[in-house]
Amino acid sequence: MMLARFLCLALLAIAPLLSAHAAPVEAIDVAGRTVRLATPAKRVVISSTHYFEALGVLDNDNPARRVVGVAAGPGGDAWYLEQIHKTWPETKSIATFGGRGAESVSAEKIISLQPDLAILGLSDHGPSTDATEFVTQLNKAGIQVAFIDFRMNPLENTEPSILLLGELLGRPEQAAAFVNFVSKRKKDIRSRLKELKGKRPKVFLQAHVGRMPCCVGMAKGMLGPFVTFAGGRNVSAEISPGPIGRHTEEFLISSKVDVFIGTASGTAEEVADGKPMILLGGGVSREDAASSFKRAIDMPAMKTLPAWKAKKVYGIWHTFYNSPFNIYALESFAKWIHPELFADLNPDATLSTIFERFSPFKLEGTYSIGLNGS
Amino acid sequence: MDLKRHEDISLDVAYRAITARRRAILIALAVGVMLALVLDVATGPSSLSFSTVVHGLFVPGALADGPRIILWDVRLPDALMAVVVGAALGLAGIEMQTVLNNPLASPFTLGLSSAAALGASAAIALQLSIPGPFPLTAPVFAFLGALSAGLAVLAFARAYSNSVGAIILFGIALLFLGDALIAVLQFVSSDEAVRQIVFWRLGDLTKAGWLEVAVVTIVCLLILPLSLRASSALTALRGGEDIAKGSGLAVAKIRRNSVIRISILTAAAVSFVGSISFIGLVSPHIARLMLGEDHRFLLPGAAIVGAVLLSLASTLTKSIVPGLVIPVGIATALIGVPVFVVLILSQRKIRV
Repeated sequence: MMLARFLCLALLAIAPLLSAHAAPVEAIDVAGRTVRLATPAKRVVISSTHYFEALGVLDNDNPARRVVGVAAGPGGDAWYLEQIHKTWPETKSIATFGGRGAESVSAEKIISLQPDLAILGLSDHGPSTDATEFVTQLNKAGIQVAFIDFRMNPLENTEPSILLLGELLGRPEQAAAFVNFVSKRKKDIRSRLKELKGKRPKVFLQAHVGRMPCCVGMAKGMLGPFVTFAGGRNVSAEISPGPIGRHTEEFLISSKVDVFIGTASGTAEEVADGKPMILLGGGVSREDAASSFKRAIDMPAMKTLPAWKAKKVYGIWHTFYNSPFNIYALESFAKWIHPELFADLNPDATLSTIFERFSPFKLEGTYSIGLNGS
Repeated sequence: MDLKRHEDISLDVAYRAITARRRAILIALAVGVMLALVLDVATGPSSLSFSTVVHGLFVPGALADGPRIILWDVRLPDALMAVVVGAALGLAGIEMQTVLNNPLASPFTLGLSSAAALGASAAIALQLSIPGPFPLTAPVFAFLGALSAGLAVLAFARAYSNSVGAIILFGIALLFLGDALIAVLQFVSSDEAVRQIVFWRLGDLTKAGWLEVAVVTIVCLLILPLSLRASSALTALRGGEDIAKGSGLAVAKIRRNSVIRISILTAAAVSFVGSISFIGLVSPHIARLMLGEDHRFLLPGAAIVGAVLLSLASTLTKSIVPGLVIPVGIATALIGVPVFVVLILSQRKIRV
């Protein structure tokens, strides 16, 4: 009895200390589901290595410090992950669950890792909102599930995803700072485009230059809508019903685009092997980027495009299609599509600030490339 | 005596008439291929006029860069690929139906396509490679896959006294096995390998260039004479295995050689455009309706019908949403499945 009273008093005494960080959390995820946590999550699993960047926005002292498991699926920012592994060698032993594809993700493995929270993407290589049985199993094991999204509808979902993670991880101020930074820039682009008089230039945004046969266009998904937001006409989206459109070279030639943007998904090894892919991203020098770019876009169809004659052919780092840092792609597109209107826009400075403030690492690499090497 | 001679003469006349008619049908079909090819080449999302296309085919230099690339680097290789792959599958289909005496047989329904795709996928997933100036690895492994499946079907057919239904079920089992093993390979492969493997599973003409067109053309041109040399034996086989054996034919050898030819044709088709369903099944039936059982005509006939069908399917997939590529395998499956069902329903004799 005495002991119980003592414990109660002790709890009361330290309660104010705990409450700042340990109050129950309730938030709505991007799938519209309510997520409740007794305290901000200390142990999380993520369904793709893509989400380390998002975690780094909030925990820029160590993006991986809460991560107890990650799906070993494809994609993600290899350089960013490498920096994490280098800086905190213990993160190399983070458990992995599942391989590729939603069906390979094992609920049992996740439960055995005992996380408080499972962070899943609306559309990545892990389970989606359709996986109700999977979500139920985790919930029964006391694991909350939150859906985020930087891929299916990144224009709409990037900020809510970061705010959601801010709530669930107990870092709302950091999340708000990031969202303010990004929203201001988006708003600026939107308001300047309102003054746009002339016609919108035609743009083809080709996914995976050199990796996939010509020409897969990003249409209504991934970075496709960024083209429209940045004041261009996405020719692939105009005829494709889905997130991507598969076209022949004939479509590219006959659509006579004013601006061509190719996504860079080559790895250093592939490019060294002579594959015609663009090499961009963390740790990539401007020279390497420029030489890979030159080779990758050297296709006969390219020379027939108005974009080629106007020297408006660009490469953008492919991984922005599923990254909270996608504002860089948006600013770059705006500048490329409307160079006069956005003459003072400096996407590289934006990205540099993002790395400075919202990641543990400094910007080091090349994330876009043009014909004149810039 | 006189009467008998008279009969002989009239039979001879009738035979000549039938042969002449069949020859005429073959020529008409060949013209049909040309028309289908021109239609295919003239179809596309850009507004090249028909006269520009025809002119550009004969005088490529007269075209501006854009139209020239469209015509010569995009449309022509794809359209020719449709013709030669269709021919390869049609020929493989008729041989398969004849040697198994089974109207439901084809490289696709008996799992040879799937096994070819498995062979090619395995080579990619396990990073096997055959050194040489040409990318031979995938075709060779596709051939090994198709051949294994073909020989397995033959062995099964012998063991189960050639029951039509049982062979089809065995073939479908092989098809499922091939697909399941491909899925396993996808699970354990690198990203890049998975992307390449996905390609085998759904036939797509757009990936092929001139080199691929040349390879499949050469394969067809080499195999067709070999098939034609076996045509009288194949015709005899259609009359029934016992009669064929009775007339001194080495049935087992005929079958084995035929399966080797089928495997080469299937591998050539699958290696460069992926798995295309039902062309190999349907073409022989159409050809048989037009040309009868004489394999001298039926073999080239099925090849030409296959070429026409795949060429038309290619035109169709380009016309659904101009500018979007719809894999031709989807079109052949959508058209082929109802035809397959009709064929099954018309086989009253099926016994499992």
